[in-house]
Amino acid sequence: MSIFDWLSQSLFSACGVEPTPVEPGTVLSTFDWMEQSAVGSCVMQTPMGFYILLAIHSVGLAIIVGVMLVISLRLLGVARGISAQALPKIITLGWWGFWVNAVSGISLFIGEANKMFGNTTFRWKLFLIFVGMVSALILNKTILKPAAAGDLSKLDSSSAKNQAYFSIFIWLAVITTGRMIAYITDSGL
Amino acid sequence: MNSLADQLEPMATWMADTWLGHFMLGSWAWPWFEVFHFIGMSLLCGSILAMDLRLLGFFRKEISLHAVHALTLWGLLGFMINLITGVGFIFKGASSYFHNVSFRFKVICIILAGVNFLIFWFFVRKQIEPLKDDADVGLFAKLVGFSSLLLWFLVIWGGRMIPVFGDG
Repeated sequence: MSIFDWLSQSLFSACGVEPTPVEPGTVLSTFDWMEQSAVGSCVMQTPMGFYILLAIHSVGLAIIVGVMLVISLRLLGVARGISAQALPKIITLGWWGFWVNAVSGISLFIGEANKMFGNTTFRWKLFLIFVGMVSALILNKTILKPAAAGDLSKLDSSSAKNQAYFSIFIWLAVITTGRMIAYITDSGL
Repeated sequence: MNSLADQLEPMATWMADTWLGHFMLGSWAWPWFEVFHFIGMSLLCGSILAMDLRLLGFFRKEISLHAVHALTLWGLLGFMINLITGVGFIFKGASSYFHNVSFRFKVICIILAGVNFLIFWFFVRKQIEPLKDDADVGLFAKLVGFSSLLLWFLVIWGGRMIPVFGDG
């Protein structure tokens, strides 16, 4: 038995979920394989498992978007008592929310791989998250870190304000597309 | 066991028949209200994270105690967005919400968080006003900060678990 099989069986029995029987020699598509894997099966078949993951995903969302909104508001002149030194530390807090959501989000995807991959709104959401991450990294590197290191002029630069507006826009767009996954379900295939 | 929800049934029927109840039946009203409900949630969450972590003693050197006040307004804005959109949801499905245990848990947590905020506003605020920017606040203020964090995360949790216990 490989370590992978051992991990799979442990997860199946921990969640009290029976593996889907597969005829020997059957070749599963990648997404069917995901849905029938231990993670996919346990996400969908553990009582409340799917909703507990969604709840964790909402908490992570509130942390990352909340943190990005507060940082953006600070760059737009709100709560100036938040010092330049605080900003890179607060953005680190946001990354915690991001990783919580990466793990919960990937698990949710594995549970519904076929449905989600075919959902155009879901693809838009992934794209927007990617843009949001890159823009957060750029914001940290070009504005927050230099400001924390002493170059306070960066905080009031027009670049900081533009990046703050962009960040607000992109994260609100992530929320919008994320919510709309449930309502705009046409297949992109 | 559901006597309160049963007693509220006539009110639920009335709510569903108001213009707001009818408006929420429209195909895009509900999804867009949800989008704004999540935006308000994030705004509220970001504000209280910065405020409460500071009260608890994190970022003491980096966030002035008085920045906490400036964020209160934005937290309240997030809360107002969620109150308005939340009322919209309730008007459409009042009966099922009143019977939903997760919804009731969420409302109790919101009320407790509201009381906690009033304690902050009327007692803690006066206590911390004369303190220096990087001061450590007293145990009582820390408790209020901790309760706020805990209660608001329970509100998110209760809200997201509503579909498990019925529709809505």
